[in-house]
Amino acid sequence: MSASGAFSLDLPQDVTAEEAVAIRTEWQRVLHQLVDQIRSWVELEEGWKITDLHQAEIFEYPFGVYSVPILTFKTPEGRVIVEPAARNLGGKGVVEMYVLPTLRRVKMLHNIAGVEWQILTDSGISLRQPWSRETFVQVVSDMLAADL
Amino acid sequence: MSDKYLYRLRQVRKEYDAAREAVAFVLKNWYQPGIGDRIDTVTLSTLEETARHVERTYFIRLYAEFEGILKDHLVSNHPARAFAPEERPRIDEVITRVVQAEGLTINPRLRVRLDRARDYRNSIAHSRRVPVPPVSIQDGIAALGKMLDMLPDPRD
Repeated sequence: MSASGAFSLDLPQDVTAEEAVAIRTEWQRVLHQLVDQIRSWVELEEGWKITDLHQAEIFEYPFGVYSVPILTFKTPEGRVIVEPAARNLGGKGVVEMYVLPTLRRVKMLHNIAGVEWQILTDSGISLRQPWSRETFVQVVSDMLAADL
Repeated sequence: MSDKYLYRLRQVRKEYDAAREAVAFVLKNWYQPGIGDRIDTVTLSTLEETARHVERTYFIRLYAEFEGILKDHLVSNHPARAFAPEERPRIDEVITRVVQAEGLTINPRLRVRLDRARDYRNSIAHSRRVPVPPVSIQDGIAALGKMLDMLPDPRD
């Protein structure tokens, strides 16, 4: 810890500033693609409706401050939020999808072993289903049903 | 329904996630170069004990946030019914006052879940010998979140 009380982090030696910007930009592209995909799936479900889509700024080392889309939709059973969490340098991009008001959630991991989006339950178990509209609808429905 | 209150619960969970994952990472990699050998003030056994207790530690933190939210809600929305800073009401009194102030009806199923969360919190805080069924942090969040979702937003 520094004299000012703030933690200082060693810069990763194998990532240049330009590379960090490129990784961040690609991550933002992936996120917008995901949000567009989920929007289209939500619109196909009866009674489901997009209620909000806005940009929020997050800070993540070493990418700095960058904007990410946060999507909210509602179903007859409750509201759901899709919110990016991080694009860790380890290669994992993480998005949280959670329901209100119980905050039940899954984590969606991007680009793990060549899989586009892998769903991780709160207990750390990976779902084996491929990322698809059916999987998405099932996961959302299960989270909402958990506390009915 | 108040998303502002749910946001506060979510922040506690984020801290819990960070603490749990950081402790788990160090434990898993303790014997790797640059991990355990760089930590001078914590033993491996203490770290193992911390890992075992981290969820219940954060359950206390979660419940304290919930109690704080209810008290803050009385201050912002029902100042005439707010507790004085020097008062130390039991959580049941806090819940009852908020329920009465808002004219809420808590369904029996949620009531049971809230009672379980309270009993578990008390068993941790007071180290009671009588065993109380544990409540996971997620189940605690779900119960407390459902109660908070019944409240209107705080008045600024």
